[in-house]
Amino acid sequence: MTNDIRLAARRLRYVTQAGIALVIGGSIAAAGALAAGRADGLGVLRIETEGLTPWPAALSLLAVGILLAAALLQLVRMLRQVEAGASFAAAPLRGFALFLFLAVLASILLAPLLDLAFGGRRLVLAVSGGDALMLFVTGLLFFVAKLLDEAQRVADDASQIV
Amino acid sequence: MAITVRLDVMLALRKARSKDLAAYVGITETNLSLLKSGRVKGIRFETLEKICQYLDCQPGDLLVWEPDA
Repeated sequence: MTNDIRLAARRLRYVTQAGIALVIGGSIAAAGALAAGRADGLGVLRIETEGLTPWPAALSLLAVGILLAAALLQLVRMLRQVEAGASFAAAPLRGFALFLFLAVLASILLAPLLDLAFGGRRLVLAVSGGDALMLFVTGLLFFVAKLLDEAQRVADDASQIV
Repeated sequence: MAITVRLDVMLALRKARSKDLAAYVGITETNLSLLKSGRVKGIRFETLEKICQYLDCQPGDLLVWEPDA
């Protein structure tokens, strides 16, 4: 493991940690504004609720934010291991891919389901091409991470054969 | 583990040193030490052959199966 890679991993970790703070802070602020009925009142920002009532939209936003933060935490875990000298950390990468996939899935499904639970009359699912592409890419990333995990296990076994 | 490595016994019988054996086989002393203590998952035929050559013994002299119960 070269020092350049360790340094790059450390820098990326700082950026990711800042991203986690931004995601959590942004989600709480936006969910709070939605719950208070101020979707237009976040300075220059406007929160898109796609016709949902405030509470389901706020809860959905918060849940997606938490899942996204969990994905980034896994990324931080992976980068810490790289900084410590591990050439590859498969388990955190798999966790990152899984939480990212769940965040995308939650962003599609959670709001309409919560709307229904909060008294909505029918379930309306809006899946755009971008959403489908994100689901495919994050699902593929999870699969590739699982393959890499298996490859690392085989490499570990091989390293214990003298 | 059911398979016991008796490399240390053979080394003692032949009055050979681990360092020399490691150099002959082409593995590190650390790996040889791990092999002696049985803390490896396997041994290559190539490694086994060289150890047998150096110690003038059979694989059965180095590896012994001992039933657990």
